[in-house]
Amino acid sequence: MNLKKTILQIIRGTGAKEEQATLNVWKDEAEESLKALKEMQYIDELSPMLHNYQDVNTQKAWTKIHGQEQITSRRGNTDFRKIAAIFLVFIGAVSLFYLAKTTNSTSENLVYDGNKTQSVQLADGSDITIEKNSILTSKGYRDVTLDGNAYFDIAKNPEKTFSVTIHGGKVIVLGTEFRINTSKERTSISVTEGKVKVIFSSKEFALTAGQFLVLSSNEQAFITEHDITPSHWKSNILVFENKSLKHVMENIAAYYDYRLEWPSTNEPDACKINTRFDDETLEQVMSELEILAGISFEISGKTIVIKSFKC
Amino acid sequence: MIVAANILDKSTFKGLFDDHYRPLCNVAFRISGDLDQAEDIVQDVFLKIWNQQDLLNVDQNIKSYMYTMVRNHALEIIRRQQIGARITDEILYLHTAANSDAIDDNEIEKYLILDRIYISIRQLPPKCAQVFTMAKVNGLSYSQIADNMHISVRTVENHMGKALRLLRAMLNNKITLILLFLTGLIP
Repeated sequence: MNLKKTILQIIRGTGAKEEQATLNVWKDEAEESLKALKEMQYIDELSPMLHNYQDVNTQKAWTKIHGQEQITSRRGNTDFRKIAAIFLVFIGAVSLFYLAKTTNSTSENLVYDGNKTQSVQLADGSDITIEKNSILTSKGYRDVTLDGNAYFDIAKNPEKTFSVTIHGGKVIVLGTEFRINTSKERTSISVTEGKVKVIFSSKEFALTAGQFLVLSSNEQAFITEHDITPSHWKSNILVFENKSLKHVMENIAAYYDYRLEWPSTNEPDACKINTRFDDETLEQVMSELEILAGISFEISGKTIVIKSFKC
Repeated sequence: MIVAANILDKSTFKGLFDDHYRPLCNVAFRISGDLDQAEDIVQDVFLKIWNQQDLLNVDQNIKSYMYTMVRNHALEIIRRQQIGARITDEILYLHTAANSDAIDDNEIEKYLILDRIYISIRQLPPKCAQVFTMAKVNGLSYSQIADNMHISVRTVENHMGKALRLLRAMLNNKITLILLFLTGLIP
């Protein structure tokens, strides 16, 4: 298209209809780019103010101010509450101590549940981190039942396996690290160290470090690879350097405990992802990948469906 | 005893804290140059807002009140440090009351966008973030950056372009809005 000629024709009112349409598209596009340009210019001009910008720990500050604000706003009966609280903590500590003592000898039918994440150390040296609203029942020596989400770091004992009863099955290990999230509808197991045997509705699975298994009664079992380690869950930070999009997605799915559906086309995954997710929700992570890798996706239930991507 | 109606509920208060704590700390820090002190000032202001809600009125712009209080507090502290302990608490109180030359919504919006840029830079690909930080935050020239990172000036330009594009996308419509208010700032 000869732009000058077209513009002249339109000014004179002699332009063809379709030429006018083309020009309108061009004008809209130009306005859009101008807007983009102005916005980028604004970022560019504002950014030097970031010189010497300070990071602070908002969460820590909130905890601090939160405590003070409650004390000052309820000054009248603070003392009573404080005494009661200290007394309760004391009773709690004594009973815990008593419980711990009895555990060593019998370790039977101990139940852990509660409204916050807690760490439990078993008599055999194993560590179990039980997430909020999850229930762990100890049925005997190295024999527990789980409902909910827990992370296991099991001490090695070649003589006696450690078993976790889950909804619809059982997980058996000698000594290893893994995570289980189990409910009536769905169970997922993620292994970070060693080997794990899983029995689920008369099927057996052998998992090794770096594998993530999703089980449910109405869907096919799903296994994928990842390199999520306990430190990721503890620090809430995921870092990817020069990794393929598929690798990134597999890790994200395992981290957030989702099943991943990758497009069935054999399109090569040429993306090289360099990024860092710092304590972000799945929604935030996905919207960033939308920008970085042009993925289009859908989250239905506990499944992430990748429809397409472009890089 | 008269019970003051609560203007702020707990979750609104927490929301204000989450959104504005770091930007406010930086407003105070830019004046006082002492981060611990800046944090103390901001925490004091938040406590004051929560505990003295009866002093606020419904029409008052709480955000503007917060920013102005923090700025005035910080100014007053350095002024006091300079003059010595000559100023009495009474005068201090008069000066810290947030009324004269208040910080308006546009300025607050600017602080918030700045904070978003700060967060978003970390989300950029590492090389991109490095180039952008060196150029914009540390004020190095493109050729200095090129030397520093052993890349060409052209590559530096590419990284900068990419950084700006990604930052704009991450901040999505936040800037569009403020630019509508600030027409004339940018030619």
